[in-house]
Amino acid sequence: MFEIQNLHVNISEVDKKIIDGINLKINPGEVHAIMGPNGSGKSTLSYTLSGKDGYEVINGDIKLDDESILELEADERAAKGIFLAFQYPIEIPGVGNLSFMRTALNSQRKYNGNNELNPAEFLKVLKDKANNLNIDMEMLKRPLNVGFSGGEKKRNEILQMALLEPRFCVLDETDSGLDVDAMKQVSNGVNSLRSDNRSFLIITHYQRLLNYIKPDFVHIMAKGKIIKTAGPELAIEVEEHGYSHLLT
Amino acid sequence: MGFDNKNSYWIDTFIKKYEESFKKVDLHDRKSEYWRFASPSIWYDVYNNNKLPLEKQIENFSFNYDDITDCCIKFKDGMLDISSLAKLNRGEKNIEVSSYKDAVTNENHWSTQKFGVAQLNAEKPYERPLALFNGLDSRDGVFIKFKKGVRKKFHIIYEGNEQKKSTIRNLFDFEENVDITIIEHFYGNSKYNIVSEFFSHNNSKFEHIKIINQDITDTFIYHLFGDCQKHSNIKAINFSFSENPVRNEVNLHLEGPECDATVASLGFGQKDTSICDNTVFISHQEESSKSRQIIKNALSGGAKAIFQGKIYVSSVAQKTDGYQMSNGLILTDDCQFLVKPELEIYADDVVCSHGSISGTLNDDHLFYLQSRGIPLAEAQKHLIQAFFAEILNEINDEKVINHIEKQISIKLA
Repeated sequence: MFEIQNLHVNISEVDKKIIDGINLKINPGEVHAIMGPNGSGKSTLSYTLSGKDGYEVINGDIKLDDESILELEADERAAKGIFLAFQYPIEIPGVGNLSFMRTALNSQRKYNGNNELNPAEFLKVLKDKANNLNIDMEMLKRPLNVGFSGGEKKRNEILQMALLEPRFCVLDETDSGLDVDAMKQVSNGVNSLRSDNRSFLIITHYQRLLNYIKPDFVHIMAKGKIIKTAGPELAIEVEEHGYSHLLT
Repeated sequence: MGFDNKNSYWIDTFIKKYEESFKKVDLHDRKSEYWRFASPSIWYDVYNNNKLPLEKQIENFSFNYDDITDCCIKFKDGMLDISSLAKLNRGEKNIEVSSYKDAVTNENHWSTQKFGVAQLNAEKPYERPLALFNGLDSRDGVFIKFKKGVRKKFHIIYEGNEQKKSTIRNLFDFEENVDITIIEHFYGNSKYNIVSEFFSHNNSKFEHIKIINQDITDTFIYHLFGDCQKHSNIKAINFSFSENPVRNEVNLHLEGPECDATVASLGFGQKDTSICDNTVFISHQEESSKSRQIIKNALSGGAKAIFQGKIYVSSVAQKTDGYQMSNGLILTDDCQFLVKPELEIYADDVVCSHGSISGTLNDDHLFYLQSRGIPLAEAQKHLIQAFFAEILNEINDEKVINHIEKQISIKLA
């Protein structure tokens, strides 16, 4: 179970409070969506959960299976099963996509006391995952995200998610920059990874993604707080009426 | 002073000329533009160093020579291993290999027409006092003529054990249509001062790779002077892992049209004794030639890197395409990356550019890797290796690439 308790977060660089008291409980197998106007703190929340430097928790806690993760570094949180699919996956020239994925998987396996996979074993695992997601292995021979289209970058994120088998996935505006077909493809990938043991927190501006990845709960975030929680119908309400009536 | 005190040879004229010029040089004079960041005295004076035992040198840093089928020439403590040369001459028909001694004492040797010519062309725009010293002090080296159409790969291995000077003079002549790779490996306890001149005739291809291993205990300076005729394709790639002062001087004179020249260097310094100095001068004398200078240095622990790069374009060298880029990866605050790019252009239809970027590891790159479970130290290693990837991509030899990657890994451990 993933739990956020009374979370307050400053962005250190500007010494400004962005998250102003969030409480959220996500059970295994659940899909939660967070929507909200620009500047409401959605991306700040995703970076804080994943452990990025510069996001200071000044109050509250974040727990995975009743254990606080606040003292854990980003790589430790990932090894514990937290995965962040970036809104803008960064390009890293010179780092091979394939070697990066193998290093990531083996780093997590090592952290959890499992044996590391040799190149042949790894390739077999990766090919299975790529085939299930209809991802061309040619993409993996290229440097990490370099020259990838928007859709390819997002599919690469989903492939990493499939490979690393996290327990809690944060999808930060995964539909950003995608055309309808690409969005369907990415959504199919996410849906194929839904299970009773895996929960999702989907951050999005638009209701359309939630037509493809159907949430159990929708939360509206504004000015660093969750101001309303309901079922999937809340997303449709926001699509029709905007956020303003919820902010008053 | 002559080659020896008994007889006179054609080389004596050069030795005397270099000696007279060297006497006029003040090695501590920092007024010269190309020595402002590091004095020539660094590579001349006695240097305090840490001598490594020989067995440790070979165990940790050695290239795997066991399965090399290419030609191999060896130097030990500045002296040519004649047996390696004899083996070569027996097997190779399209290559004439001579020792420095045999060449300079033979009035009819082909090198009498070539010796010193490329160095003379390189004398402008600045004095090269350590090349002058090499000219008067060297007593060994290898002179190789590659005949028309030959394709060959050579390894030249320099080992230092007795903490002596290795002042070596090489000369390479490439006839038309050759395709030659020379990989030079430098190890151990020696003060290295090497001058290599080469002449590439029409349509010849020459790839020159230098690997300066991290067990070098003294200073290292290498001058590569090249005169290139039409359609020459030249690559001069330098890998420096030494923690002592290294100066890599490359001077290419593109005398013919439609040449293609690449000078690239990878330097990795982690101590305050480390200086990686690349001073590169490429002169375009005819039209439609291309040149690239790509310099990358990763620095920590007070290390220093220098890049002085010049692209010269004469007035007749229209359609020149010249590119220069230098990158410094500064891993600790106490390092320096000093850069002086120059473009001197007299033609009016050219494309020439230069750029330089210095910085530390990208925080967003680090976080991306960490967010996938890769610990910080491992992520940093990946990014440093990625930084060097552009230089490694310049070479095709898998064994060399593996060796370089191993040297980088040893440094990162």
